Amino acid sequence: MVAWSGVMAGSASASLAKIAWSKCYSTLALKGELIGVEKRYFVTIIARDRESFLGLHDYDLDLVYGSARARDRKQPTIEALLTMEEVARLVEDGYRVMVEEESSKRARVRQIVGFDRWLEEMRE
Amino acid sequence: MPPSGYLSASSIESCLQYLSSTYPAICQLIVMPEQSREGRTIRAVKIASDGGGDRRAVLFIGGVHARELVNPDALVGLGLRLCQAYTGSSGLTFGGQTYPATTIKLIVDAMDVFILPLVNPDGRVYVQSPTGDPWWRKNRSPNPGLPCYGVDLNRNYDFLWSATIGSTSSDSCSETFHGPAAFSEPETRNVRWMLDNFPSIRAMMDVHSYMELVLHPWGDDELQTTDPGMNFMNAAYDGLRGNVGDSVYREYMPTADRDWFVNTGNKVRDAIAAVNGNSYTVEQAIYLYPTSGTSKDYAYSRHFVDATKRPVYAYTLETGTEFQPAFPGAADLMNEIMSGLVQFCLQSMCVAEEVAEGTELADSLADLRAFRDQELLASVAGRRWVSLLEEHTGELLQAAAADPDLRRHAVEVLGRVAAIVSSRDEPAPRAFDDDVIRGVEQLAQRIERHAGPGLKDTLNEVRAELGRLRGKTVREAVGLEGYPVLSSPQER
Repeated sequence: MVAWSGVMAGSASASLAKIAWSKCYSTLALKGELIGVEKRYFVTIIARDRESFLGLHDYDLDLVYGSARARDRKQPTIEALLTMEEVARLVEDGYRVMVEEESSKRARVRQIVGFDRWLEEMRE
Repeated sequence: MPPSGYLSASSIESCLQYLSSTYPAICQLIVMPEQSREGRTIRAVKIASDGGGDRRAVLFIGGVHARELVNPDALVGLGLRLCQAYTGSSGLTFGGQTYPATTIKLIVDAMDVFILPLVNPDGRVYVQSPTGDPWWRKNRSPNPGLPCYGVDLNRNYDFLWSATIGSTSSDSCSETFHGPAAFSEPETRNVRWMLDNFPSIRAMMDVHSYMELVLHPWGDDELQTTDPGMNFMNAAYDGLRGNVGDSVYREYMPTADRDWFVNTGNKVRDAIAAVNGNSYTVEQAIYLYPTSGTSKDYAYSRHFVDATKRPVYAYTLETGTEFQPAFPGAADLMNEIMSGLVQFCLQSMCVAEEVAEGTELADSLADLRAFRDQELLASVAGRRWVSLLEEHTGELLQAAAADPDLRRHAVEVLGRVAAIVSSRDEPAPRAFDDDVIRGVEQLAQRIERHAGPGLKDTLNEVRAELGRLRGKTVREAVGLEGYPVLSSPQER
């Protein structure tokens, strides 16, 4: 399930970026989501070109490298796990960022099964 | 019923103990020489009948990145499935993909399958802890003197470690921090120990998540097959690596290795697709993002650094479409992974070695291998023959395992070919005569009964070429004019 998705339109203009950030913030607030600096979101980052795509590394982000789609693409993409602060920083710098889902919705770390039960299930 | 949840780090450990105690004849527990940063013992298993020996081996590792939960479960699941099927003389079915009992027997009897399912137990404990971080990637090294915890183990190997190419970082707070030194971490030293201690390991799969990819070397730059001097050891190129699309630097890989990587990757992809229809992409790792210090590049690079070592054909498998898929979807994904890895075992075997096992022909293998490496692979026509054979290794081996008559026939034909090959330095070397040509033709007919469409096409191609061999010595055959130019297997 996607809690909220949208495109924070990238622009070199800081003012446009602030508008986009504000819009994003409002939308999330309306949904009743809490926005804290520690809350993280699965996002897709769309770079202008390959150079800006490779430049993502300088932001020190949690990028999902397996998802990188750079070959033969004018606008390379990559998925990432980011805070809204990081999203805003990217948007300010001209990246487009599509926010897919708040990360806790994809966390299955509590879906734990004991070994004995696992073995029974694997036997059946 | 498929599993309904993920195993904890201690349950993965229990599973390895269970395998070795329940199936002692074919499963041996291996304790890694170093504990994890937080003091946990790390273990692997070797699955092999008769305790194995100096025979071809594969190494599967998983759980390197803590948050990628499904892969250690799939690896211990594979160990369990192999042991169950072998001892029960049954096959394995993963969704739409079936491996018959003869294939499982072939793998366990002929190979050593090493499984190190959880390289980074501290990370998994932290991820699954109520007070931990579900998205933790690195190990739990405290990094004394540095501001942040953790080293990205898949940037910590000694392959261009200090170059920090592309996604690799020297900042301890980065998710891709490569550590204070190459092999600074006990967890990566354990993987190195496996490669050092078991030199029969010829292929390795490092199982990660996510994005449905089969990645092969290199990750530091695009590959090239023409200039052996342009390689990762050459300091003249330091600082020039990691740029896709330039002609300044490209990492060297022999053509035959490139073909093997692509052929085998395609077969693994097909075996995965047969389970649920999911189509993985086979790709050179650089086309995702430049990297240094990764496991697959290190494992494959070792024989360039030390010529006494044999090549380890190493991949990264990026499974699924998320880090922690929900059950029961995660169980379907485990089936995909297991199917791909069984196929990888088959592709990592050698048809000639397995067919000749236990026959007089085994004595001729060293000469055949020398001829292949020194002469066959040096010619366009020869590489084409090797590539065709390797592309269908798994299918040929399964056919031979299922059909003892076919195997006997193959031994007979291979024996005649070996005699021609071994006469190549004699004053009057032997030539391919009608008997040999007819024998190959009959063998092709026999194989065809077991063949899928791809192998049938290859057999037709082989038949069309047979006439050209008549009356030729093996060196003349390899140098024949009129062969189509070798085309590389495609990463589709």
